[in-house]
Formats: sequence, C-alpha cells, structure tokens
Amino acid sequence: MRLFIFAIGGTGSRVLKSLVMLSAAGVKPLDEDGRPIPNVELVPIIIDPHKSNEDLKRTEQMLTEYCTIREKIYGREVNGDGFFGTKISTLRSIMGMTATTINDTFIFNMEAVGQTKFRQFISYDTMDEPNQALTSLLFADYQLENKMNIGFVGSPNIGSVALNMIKDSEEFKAFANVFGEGDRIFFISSIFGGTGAAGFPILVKNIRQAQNLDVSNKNFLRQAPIGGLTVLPYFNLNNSQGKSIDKADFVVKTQSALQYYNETLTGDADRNVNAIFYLGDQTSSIPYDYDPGNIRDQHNPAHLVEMVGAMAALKFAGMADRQFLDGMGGFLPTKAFEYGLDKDLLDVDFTTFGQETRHLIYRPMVKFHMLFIYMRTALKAIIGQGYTQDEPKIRSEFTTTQFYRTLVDQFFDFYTEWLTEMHQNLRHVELFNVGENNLSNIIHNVVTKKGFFGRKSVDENTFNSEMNKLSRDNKKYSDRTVEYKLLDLFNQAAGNILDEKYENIN
Amino acid sequence: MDKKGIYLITGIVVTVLFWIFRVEVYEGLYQAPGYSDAMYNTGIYGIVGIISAAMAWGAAAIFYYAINSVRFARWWHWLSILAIVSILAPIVCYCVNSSIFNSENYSYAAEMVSFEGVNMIFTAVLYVVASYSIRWWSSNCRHTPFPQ
Amino acid sequence: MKIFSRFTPLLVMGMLAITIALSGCGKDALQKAVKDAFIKGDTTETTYQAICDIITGNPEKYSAYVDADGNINTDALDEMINEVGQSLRPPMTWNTKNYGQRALSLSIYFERSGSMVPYDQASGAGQLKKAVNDLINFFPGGENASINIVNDNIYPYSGTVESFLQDRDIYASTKGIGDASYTDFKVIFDKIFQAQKPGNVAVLITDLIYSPKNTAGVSVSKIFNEENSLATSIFTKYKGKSIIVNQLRGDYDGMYYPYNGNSFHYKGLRPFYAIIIADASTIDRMVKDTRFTNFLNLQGTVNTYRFNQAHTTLDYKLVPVWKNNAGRFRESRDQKGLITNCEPDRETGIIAFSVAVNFGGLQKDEAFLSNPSNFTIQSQNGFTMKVEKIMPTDITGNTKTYLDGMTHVITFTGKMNTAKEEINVNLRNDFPAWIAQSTSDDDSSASTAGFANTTFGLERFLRGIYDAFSASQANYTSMTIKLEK
Repeated sequence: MRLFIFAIGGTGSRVLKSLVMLSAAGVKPLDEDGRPIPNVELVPIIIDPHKSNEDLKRTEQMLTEYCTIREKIYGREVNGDGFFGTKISTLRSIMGMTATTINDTFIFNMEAVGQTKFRQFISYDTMDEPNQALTSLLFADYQLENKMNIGFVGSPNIGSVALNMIKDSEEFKAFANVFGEGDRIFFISSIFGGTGAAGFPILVKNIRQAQNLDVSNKNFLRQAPIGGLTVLPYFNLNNSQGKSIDKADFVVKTQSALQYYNETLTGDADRNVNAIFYLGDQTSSIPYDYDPGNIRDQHNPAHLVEMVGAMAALKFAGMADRQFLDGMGGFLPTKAFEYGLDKDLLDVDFTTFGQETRHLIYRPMVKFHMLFIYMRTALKAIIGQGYTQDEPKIRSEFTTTQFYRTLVDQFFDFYTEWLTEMHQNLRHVELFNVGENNLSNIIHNVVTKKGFFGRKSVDENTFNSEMNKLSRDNKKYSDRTVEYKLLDLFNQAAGNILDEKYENIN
Repeated sequence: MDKKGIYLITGIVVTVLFWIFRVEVYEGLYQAPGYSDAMYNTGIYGIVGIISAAMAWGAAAIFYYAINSVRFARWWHWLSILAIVSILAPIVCYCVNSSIFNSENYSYAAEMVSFEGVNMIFTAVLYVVASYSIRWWSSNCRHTPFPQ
Repeated sequence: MKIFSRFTPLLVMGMLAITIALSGCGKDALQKAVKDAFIKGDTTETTYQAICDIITGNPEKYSAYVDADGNINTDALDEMINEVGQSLRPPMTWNTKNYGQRALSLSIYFERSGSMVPYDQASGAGQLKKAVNDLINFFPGGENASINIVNDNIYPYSGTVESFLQDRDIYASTKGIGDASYTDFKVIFDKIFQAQKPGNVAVLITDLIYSPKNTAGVSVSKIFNEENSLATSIFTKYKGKSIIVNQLRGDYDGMYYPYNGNSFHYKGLRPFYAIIIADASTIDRMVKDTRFTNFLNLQGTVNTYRFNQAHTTLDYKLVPVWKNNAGRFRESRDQKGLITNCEPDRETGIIAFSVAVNFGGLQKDEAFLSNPSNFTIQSQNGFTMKVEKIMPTDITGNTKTYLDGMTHVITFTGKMNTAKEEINVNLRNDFPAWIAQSTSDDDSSASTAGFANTTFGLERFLRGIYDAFSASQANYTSMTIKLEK
C-alpha cells in the first residue's frame, strides 16, 4: 500500500519530519491487532510555496538522507523491518524515474506560483473593474502585493486561490496516474495558517472530483480512503503584534475553518475525508520568532504535537478498509480522532503516553536511541572483532562510507536536534536523558532491572556481546549488505537487551 | 560437514593422537638416561599427557565459553591465557611427576625441569589446537586470535 | 540441528575427557600390582602371593587366572606377569613357575666307610655332621628326608631324621651297617640315580676317595684311569642329571687308609664332599628359588662346581645411569641388546656403558665372577670389560629398576672406531682349577704336601664326570651387545 502524504505548509513539513524520525526508528503502522502492516510505502509530497522555509528545507534534507540510508540497507525492497524499515519514495521514483516533466524531489514544484506577487498571479491588472472591486473586497492591499514564495502567510484566502492551480500541474497528474487500488492519501496541514488551511480542502476537492481530470486512475482516486491531520494552534509567535500571522487571529481562523471543513470535508453529506485527526495543545509552545522573508524564517523547534501528528498518519495507514467503506461503493461517515496524553503533564516522557502510543513507539524509539549512542561511541572500537568479522565483514573503511557519514554525522545530527528541540519546547518532551551516554541510564524515568548486584548494567559491550551471539547464530547476512547486517543485528540485540535488562513499562 | 566441524574433528584427532603417541612425542623432543625409562614405567607420560591436554582444552574452553567476553577477546588476551596455561600445566605436571617419583625414590630433579620445558611447548600447541577446534561456536571470541 | 551444533563443542569435549579418562584407567588392580612389583624391584614370592590373593579375592573378574575350585592357573598368571614385565623399560622377567610347585624331597646318603669315621670324633669340631645337619635343616621339607648309610651298598638309616640330627656320634650308632672297608661308587651312584624320583634331591656325604677292593699292588695310573672311566660310564647314562660337588673341610682324627694299604693315624683337617645329585631341571629350579639358597650355598664350602650346567640365557639390562658410564647412547626399544646413537665422551673419546646381569643362577662364587679371565670377550674395537658386584649402596631410586634381580654390573669401555660394533661375551665353563689343586696322586703319608687340602685321585674321578657332560657345558652363559653410532 502506498500512502501519499500531502504535507502542506510549515506544519506539514514539521510533522513530516517527526514521521521520518519515527520511521527511522522503525515505527510502523499497526493493524487493529497491533501487528505491523506490511508493504507500506510512504510518498510524501510537500506543498509549500515558501521555499526558503527552514522547516521545509530541513525536512527535505532529512528525507533525502533517509532514502540514501534506506537504499543501502534494503535496496529497492518495499518491505523492511527494523530501523528505516518503511520505504519512503519520491513521486518520480515510484514512476520508475521515467517522468521527465517532474523533478525527483519531495517538494511540489510551485515555481510558477512562487515568483509572482499575488496580484500578478490572479491577473488583477487585467481584470475588469467590477472584478477588481470584488478582489479588493476579498484581499487586502498588502496581500495583493505579497510575493508568494514566502507562503500564504496566514492568508487562506490567497492560498485557496493559488493552490487550486495545483490540479493542473504535472506533479498532480503524475500522482493521479500512479495512484493504484488500495493506496491511500493523507493530508497534513495546520488549520490556523495560510497554506495548509487553504490547501487541504482544495486538494481533497480536486481528488474527489478526479473524473474531471485527464488521468488514468480516476476511479481509484475517487474511491481512495483519505485521511487528514488538522493541526490546531499549538505555538506562540514572537513579535506577532501587527504582523501577518497573528496569534490572536489563530482561534478565530480556526473556528471558521472548522466550520468550513464540516461543511465540505467531514460533513455527513460529503464524507470526502474518511478519517480526520484533530490535534492541538492548549499549552502553547515557547514563542516562535516570526519574521517572514528572513533567511532563517520559519525555523520552528520541534514539538510534541508534531510527533503525535506523525502517529496520526500511521494510525490512518493501519486502519482497515471496512472502517471507511460501506461495502456498497459508498463511504461510511467520517471518523474523527483526537489525542490525549495519559497524564496531562508538562514534562512528557514515555510513561506519560497512553498504552497504544507506548506500544507503537516505545520499543522502536528506544532501540533507535541505543543505535544512535552505539554508532557514535562504540562501533569504531569493535570493528575488527566479533560480529564485524562475520560475513559480510564490517571493516574500518566502513566508517568512511557515504552511508556511515550520512547516518552518523548527518541524520543523527537531525535526530539530536529534534530531540533537543522537543525537550526545550513546551511541553518538555524528555523521552531520553539528553546527553547521557551511559546506556543503563538513557531512557528517562525507566531504569534497568534489579540484578544480583544492584541494577543491571548496560554498556556498549552488552550490545557487542549480544550482536556477536546473534551474528554467530545467523546465516542470513551472507548475501546482504554490511549496512543491513549491522542495523538488523543491532535491532535484534537492542530488542533483547531492552527485554532482559530494562524495566518493562508497556 | 562444514569447516568448523572439520576443525573440531581434526583437533580431537590430533589430541587423541598426541595422547596415544605420547611416549614418542615427548621423547622425540626430550630423552634422558634413566629418566625416560622411569617416566615410561610409571606411566607418567600418560598422566602428564592427560593433564596437559585437559588443561589446554580447559583453558581454551574457559577463554571461549566461560570468559567469552567482548573486553577479553583480543589476540593478546588469548595469548595471555596461552602463557598462563603453558606455565600452569607444566607446574601441575611437575608436582604430579615429582610426587610419583618421590614415592618411587627416583631423583631426577634436573630432568623433570627440562621435561616440563618440553611439556610447556606441547601444552601451548594443544591450546592452539583446542582453540582452533572450539572457537567457532564462541559468541564473542570466535574471531580470536585471528578472524575466521 | 541448530541445537546440536551449539552443543557440539561441549559434547565432543566431554567425550574426549571420558575417552582419555577411560583409557588412562584401563589397567586394573591386578596389572597395577604386577607393574608395581616390577618397578619397585619387589619380584618375590611374597608379592606373588599378594597377587594371587587379588585373583582369589575376585575370582569372577579374574576367571582367566583361577579355576572354579580357587586354584591359580599359574601358567596363565606367569604369562600375564611376564607380558607386563616385557612392556616395561627395560623389559623385565619374573620367573614365578617355581612358586607353589610340588615340594622337593631330600635323600641323604651318608658314607660310612672306614675313612669317614674319623671326621666325627669328639676331639674335632664336627664340621661334617654340621654340614649334614645344615643340608637337612636348610632344605624345605628336610624333616621328611630319607637318610641312608652308604658303603659297599646303600642301607636305610634306622632312626628318625630328628634322632639323626641329635645324634652326637653318628658313626657309633650306625656301626655294623654294611661293609665299611670299601666304597663302591659304581654301585652307589647307580643306585642313587635309579632310586631317584622326579623332584628328589640326593646328597651324598663322602670323602670321594675311590677305594675299590684289592687295590694293593695296582699302579696309581691304573686306578686313576679306572676311576675316570667308571665316572664317565656312570654319568653318561644320566645326562639329565646334574651334580654339584661342594668341597668342605673337617677335623679328622683317626686311621687313614691310603691306596697302598699302609694305614696310618692322622689328626688334622681333611677335605670331604657334599655331592648334590638331582635332575638338572630340579637344580635349576632350586637355584631360582630363594628358599634353597642356604642349601645350595652350604656353609663351610671351600670350593664348589656344578657338573652338567646347561648354557643359560643371561638376564641382563642396560643401566643408563651408572657411575662408570661415559658418552651418550640410547637403548633400542625394538631390539634387545642393541644400543644406538652412540656418542663418545667429548673429552676422552671413550664410550662406556654398563649392563646389569644376573649371575645368581650360575652358582658361581664372587672370585670366579669378578675375574675377567673367566670371560671371553670378542669385539672389533677392543672393548674391555669390568665386572662389579652390586652393592646395596648401588641401589638407588634411579637404579633400582635396572638392578632389581641383578647381581653384577659389567661395564664395557672402548672407542667406537667403526659405525657398528658387536660385543660377544661368554662366561666359560672350564674344568675348575681348584679340582686339580685339590688332587693328590700320593696319599701314602700325612706329611705329603697339601695332605690336609687334597683328595687322592679327585681330579680323575671328577674329570670323568665332566667328560660325560662336556657337550652341554662350553659356556655358562653369554651375551651379545650391538652398538651403532
């Protein structure tokens, strides 16, 4: 199953970033019985005219690195278990790289939009007078003068006009052509900004009205389960007085947007969206700087809401078809979801989450964090010994490969940044003891089990030893890459160690 | 049979052959008038052979399966066990040899020391043989002293 | 399969340990006791009995060596014992066949001719009677000996062994038996031989003076030749017999009857003889049986010689650790008597090696054995030999294995100028010199030189016996040692 994820606007990028992190950790969509769903391929499509958006740039780079890493591990195979198990692809790559009209990127090409002012985009100057008058009524003067490569800066009215053009783009056609039976679509957008709030309903509308399009898989599109994450206000902005994205506007805009969604997307009459996830946090984040057009603008620290939002996409992917379809070719009423912590605390760790979340993310994330520490502190020392000497051998040259550098130097930098940002934010998300390299003590509020001589100790050699043992008993690596062997061994070892050495919180 | 099995069988065969031909093997490297006959007649070659073989295999088993530690898996760790067993086994053998000789009123002090020098070599060789026989199934030390 | 492969090393190591342990413990208590006896140099009858006790203590386990009635199968046991002995270094033997065999019987033939009476006078020391008593007392089962009086014929002694032993004047109490005026050796030896049953040991106490009837006027030479032929003719018929002639001396006080008939009184020492007659195999058996040591080595014996002593295989072992050894050499484990890797001493160029030998069975005295002139040594490189008696101080922990059961050490010294060498050593069985020295041709007067030490015509008679057995007695024993560089 392919899950096409339209990540719209800055919030879309940030949720996508969390989704990439969870996928890197090996978090996978689970079915109703809690078993991983096989063959899920994520196809993120980032829609954001604000190309210099830092969040977008970070997310795109992270996605590229993810793909680089994953290809070394699994090649082009869709199925994968463990770290980087979920395949993430660009639109072009799933077309077999044949389409020459679109770029091999996760970012929707909005070149045509980005370079123009809104008044040029809607051909204000060539309108007749009545239309110009109407336009002036709908849009403020400064909005007409905005260049759109900085986004729609909290103006859904502009976004809705601009994004309606997407349906005519090459990318959208490509998407519609590759969309197959059983594939699903998920939208990530904020309801209170500009781009997302406008983009989500427009894109849904275009998909559901696919019969009007000149594409091959119209029926699949029309019948495709569509999910949407609608992020409600969760952050504050600095210097927001009088600026474009006004915090004070958020609530007002949200209310009217929700009203609109109810009428066009989730209402009983439409059922255009099959599952809608509402997510927000009344405890606002630390204030984000707001300075549109600045080189570092919209570099917002990661937030718990985004991580939970990423889980919404996985939740949607794991839902059975019968939850959406009535069996007679029609849709069931839209399913709406909200999210709650087990305990409403400002300091969040794994124990703060509810049972389902813990089941979904605890093991993979802990194992991934262990991998992060192991790769950075212990791998080089063990090369030449133990499992590294089993075929395929991990040699010292391994630490100079693109894979190693991408994972250890770059991806893990993003990972620590992500963790740190979540930690520093409000709520404080402290899943792991940041900066702690003592493996016995990495999980916040989770200790190792009691042994004969006090708490059990875990260090890099606990992992080396376990991996040595697993490698000895495993014959399956001989025709796999060293990257696969290393990560798969570590994944198994970390799982065993987690079970044997740490207190169980699930 | 895979390579590991062949190594194991070979090691066992070598050790058993060593023990069967212990007299020839030991006397091939060291023979002294009177002493060699006394060793032969009292059956000490057999005892010393068993002690050396058992200690060499035991030391290898300890290194590969009892210690079996990532921290103690380098070739110099393996070598240190070799050194220990190569010293310890001859000491034990010397004590056994000496006690049997005392009970028989033999006095071959210098010869016993020289013989244990030779026994040290055989113990070391047996340790290497045992290592190559059993190391393959050790989780942490199967690549010690040299990678497979 | 996976489980199997994981436990394979443990499994195999366990099996290895068990295999080695089992093969190490393979020797049972019996074999260990035998081996210990060899190694400790304790190959005595007492030890043999202890070994028999092990067998009878567990007859089911050792059924090969014991029958249903609890009787030891001595042949099988002897074979096993010597197999163990042969597996040692150097290979050892232990003759156990005499143990527990049928007891030997003793017959004493006490010459009662006129010339014998003066040996047992109250004025003398009574050496003759003591010798006879010793022979009876030191013979296991001697209390059942048959005692006979000998002169012209053989007559049974009327008393008991006990009364014979306690009799202070044996000639007085046997007076009147037979004709004491002459001794007919032909009749006596014939009768002794004929009467002798297997396992019987006869001892003739005599002065060995040939005194047939009517010798007056007959020349000495004629008498001697007659005596010589008589001896040869008698003993040729009994080639299976062996005779030990022990010469002793006793106080003599009385009339002496020389061949010319002119008797005279003599007081002083005179030789007399205790002649042991038995099947050669019986004597061989006694020689190897320590219970007969005192019987065979009769106290007071001046000279002794065993006639018809077959060539015996010499029991010998190379002694690698011996004070006189020089240079380096190695005993071959495959071939007895082969010494390989011979390297002379670096300074002197000499190689000297020692061989422990058992001359015990030869019944030869120390002077005879220590005299190199009694040996013939043949060697390309002119090796010389030196014979030393093993002293108790020589037996140390290190040497006991090699010296156990041995009496002498022969050290061969020489230079290896050739790649190979073969040393042949023979201990010659010559007609002993003491016989000639103890012989007189004229006993007509006590003033004749050596009267106290000589017997009239002794040599002729004994040479007659010697000649009868000459074919079988060129050498007592021999040994061949081969050397290789």
